[in-house]
Amino acid sequence: MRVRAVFVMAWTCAVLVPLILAWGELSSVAERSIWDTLSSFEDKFQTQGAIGFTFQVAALSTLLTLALGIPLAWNLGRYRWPGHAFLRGLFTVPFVMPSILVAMGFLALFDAWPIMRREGALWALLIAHAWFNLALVVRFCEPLLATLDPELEEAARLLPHGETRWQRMRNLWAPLMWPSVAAAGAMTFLFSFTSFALVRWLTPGQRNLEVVMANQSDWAGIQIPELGRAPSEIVMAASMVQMLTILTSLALISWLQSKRMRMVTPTIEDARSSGSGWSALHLMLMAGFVLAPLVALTFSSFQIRGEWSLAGWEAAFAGSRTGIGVSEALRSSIGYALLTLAIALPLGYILADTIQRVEQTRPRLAMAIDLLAMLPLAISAVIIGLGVLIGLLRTEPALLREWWIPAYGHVMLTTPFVVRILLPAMRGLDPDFENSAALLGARPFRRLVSIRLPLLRGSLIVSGCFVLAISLGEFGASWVVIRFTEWTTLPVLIDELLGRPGFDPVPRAAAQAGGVVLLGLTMVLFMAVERFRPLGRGGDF
Amino acid sequence: MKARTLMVSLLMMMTAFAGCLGSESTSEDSNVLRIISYDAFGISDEMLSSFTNETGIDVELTRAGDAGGVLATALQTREGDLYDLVLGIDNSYLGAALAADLFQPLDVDRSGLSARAIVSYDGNLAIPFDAGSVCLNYDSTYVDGENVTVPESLWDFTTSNWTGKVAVENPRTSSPGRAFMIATATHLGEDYDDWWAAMNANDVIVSDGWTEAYEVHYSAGYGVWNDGFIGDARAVVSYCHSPGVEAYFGDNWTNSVALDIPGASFGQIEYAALLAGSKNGEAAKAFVEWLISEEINAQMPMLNLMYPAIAGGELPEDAGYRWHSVVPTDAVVSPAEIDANIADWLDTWDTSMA
Repeated sequence: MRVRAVFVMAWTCAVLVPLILAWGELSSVAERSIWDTLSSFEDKFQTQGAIGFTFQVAALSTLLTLALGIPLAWNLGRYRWPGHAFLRGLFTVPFVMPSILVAMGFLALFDAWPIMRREGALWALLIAHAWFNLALVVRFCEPLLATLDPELEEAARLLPHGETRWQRMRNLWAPLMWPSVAAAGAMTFLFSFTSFALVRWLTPGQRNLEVVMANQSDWAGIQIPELGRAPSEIVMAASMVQMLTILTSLALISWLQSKRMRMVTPTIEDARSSGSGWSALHLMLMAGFVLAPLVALTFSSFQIRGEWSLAGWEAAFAGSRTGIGVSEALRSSIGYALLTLAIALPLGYILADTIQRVEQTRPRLAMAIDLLAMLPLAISAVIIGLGVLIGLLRTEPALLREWWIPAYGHVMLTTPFVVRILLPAMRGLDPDFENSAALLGARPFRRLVSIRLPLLRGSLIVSGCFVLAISLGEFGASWVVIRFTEWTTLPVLIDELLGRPGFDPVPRAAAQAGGVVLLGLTMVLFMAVERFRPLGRGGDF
Repeated sequence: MKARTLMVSLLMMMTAFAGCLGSESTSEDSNVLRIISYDAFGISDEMLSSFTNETGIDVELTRAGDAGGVLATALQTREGDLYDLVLGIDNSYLGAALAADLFQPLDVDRSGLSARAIVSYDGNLAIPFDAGSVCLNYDSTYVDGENVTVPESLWDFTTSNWTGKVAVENPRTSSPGRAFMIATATHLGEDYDDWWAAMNANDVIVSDGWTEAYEVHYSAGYGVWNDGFIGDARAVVSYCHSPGVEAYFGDNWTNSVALDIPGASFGQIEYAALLAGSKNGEAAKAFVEWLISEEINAQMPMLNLMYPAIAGGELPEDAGYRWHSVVPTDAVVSPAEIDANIADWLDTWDTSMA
């Protein structure tokens, strides 16, 4: 228990200390209260419309994602398809794709429909959000659908309230599924609320709170009032609104997840039947939807000013425009990803384990730890970055030059996912195994290695895979600290190439080529891991 | 048992990777010159290694967004002794940097610099290494001389010909945007807020960065080739030599023309400066001397898409680079004036544009 307490405390410090430092720094420059700043949001160009736009986008994205995702989850969950594991992997991949590449993919796709760049820009953003978050609905709902005892539905057919399809929907499926659907919806809301790259690229001229904060991030916290005052005030106010909203939806997710585990008892058996031609067509369309932006991006990487060319790929691998090539950057990326895995997986395991053990006796404490574990998803990278910078400057500035510091940001971002994946799996374990082993005299470490870890193997591998994929694709946390050329990761390299003025067309194509490599790697990772996820398991992702 | 083997091998792999990353860690010896610059800074790696070969000084380059990001990072980390040399703070930010006593003198020979390079500041705290003017560019297929004539005043852009057809950058997030805003404030004086309010009423397009304004919105730039091109803007805030760069990379062909409205452009000058806390003055001096040497500085138009800072430095004639570029009459404003007024100008802009 003591080890767990130490880990929980360490995590709490790692999350809260930067937050507190950043807030302290911002409020020391700010002159107006958060409320004053918020009430003048609509009178200033930088913030005008941002709050409304953020909520509008998050709400509409959630609706569209559910509308597209529920039929897909049903189709995947209720019927048996050839290449099922492949399909499940395919529909999960978008979620771990780096959002800036998703934006580039959709730009390439929408190039054929100019209307999506003008009047339809909001739709373009909503579609991209739905594409991105589809995996949440599938992952939250599909395991339950795939293993629910078919006798339940048979029984429902015979009852007066379950005669028609509609009645069964209302009286059987809706009560069973709503916590999963709601949790997926809340999660989608969260990610659409904090979306950055997609908003920046797909809806030009529109700013959500995350974009507003990123815009002000350079000057927020600078201790020269003429430069730092207005940006600090804006970042404080925007991050407050964002954090309160996200914490609310996180609490909702945590509550829904524990509720769901209590009310559903799935069978271990496969409850799927074979699907009709229409279902197959629907599935193929959805697979096409998922692949479309990726294919468009790949095509685009082979084009320079409208003509086919390999120049982008050559420049990307030779590093002729950046000093470092894709393969070197990839090596750094993999290095950081493995380092992140080494920290985030054990950390997430212990956090989840603590929550699960504590929740029987002290549910409030468990909820608090759960929220803490998820907190990094609620804090803007702008705040974390500022907090880490200030913290290190005040203690040991030399650390800022250390190559491993960016891994801090990666760990912050990936650990919540480990917790979300492992926690439901742990809740689903039968305690009898471990109890019997304890009775037979197995010591705690022995029980962990011989019983608990093997039983959680599938979920551990899936969460490890998430950690690797998210870390590989991480753009945001890398700016948190100083970027040195020697440890340029692939996303940072792509970002740098995109930051060049595009008079010379090659860097852009090179960025796309680097993006295709990153996408390919992530995809292979996910397809490979999908077979480890047992049917009906794998928790929430 | 399988799980354990897996974990052990994973752990070993990770240590190996961590080791190979760690071994690249930079040494603390004084022969490493730590430079901070903006993302788009165009000195190539080969050039940096040729500098290292000549002088024995290793260069470590950190990138921090745009010119504003460079100054902000330098200010934020000033106590930390993280960098020696700052490259790319321009004369729109120089006043703030000087007021904050951010730099120490850098004693290099400045006699070879052009008059244009030292017009804003001529001292040893900041050494200019390139220059270029920020002004409006327009699409010559739209400005045909009959239905739409070449604008002669900024107010022409508030007429119906230009409704929703001008793209500018947000001055709080973009260096060219900020430079243009300063030019308008100096040029328009008391009419500054009225003009921006009129532009806002005329549906001016405001982007957070130059990239979006130029390649997504501008109809006469290279953006036409890019995914996601919109092309709704017939004029854009960019550099007066952007049409030249277009021609240079576009086989001496472009529709884009730089507009010289006297006093409505901002002559941007970019500086190299030694941070006050640095103990690496000698290496910094060697680097700056190299940067403003004839051989390197003359290459600025290709490397960094800017004019050289040395006397006699020009854009190349190749592919219409110089022919399509304009040297305008810039607004006259000193770094000190900018520093004194910038907060007001920005706040006014935010309100006029809301």
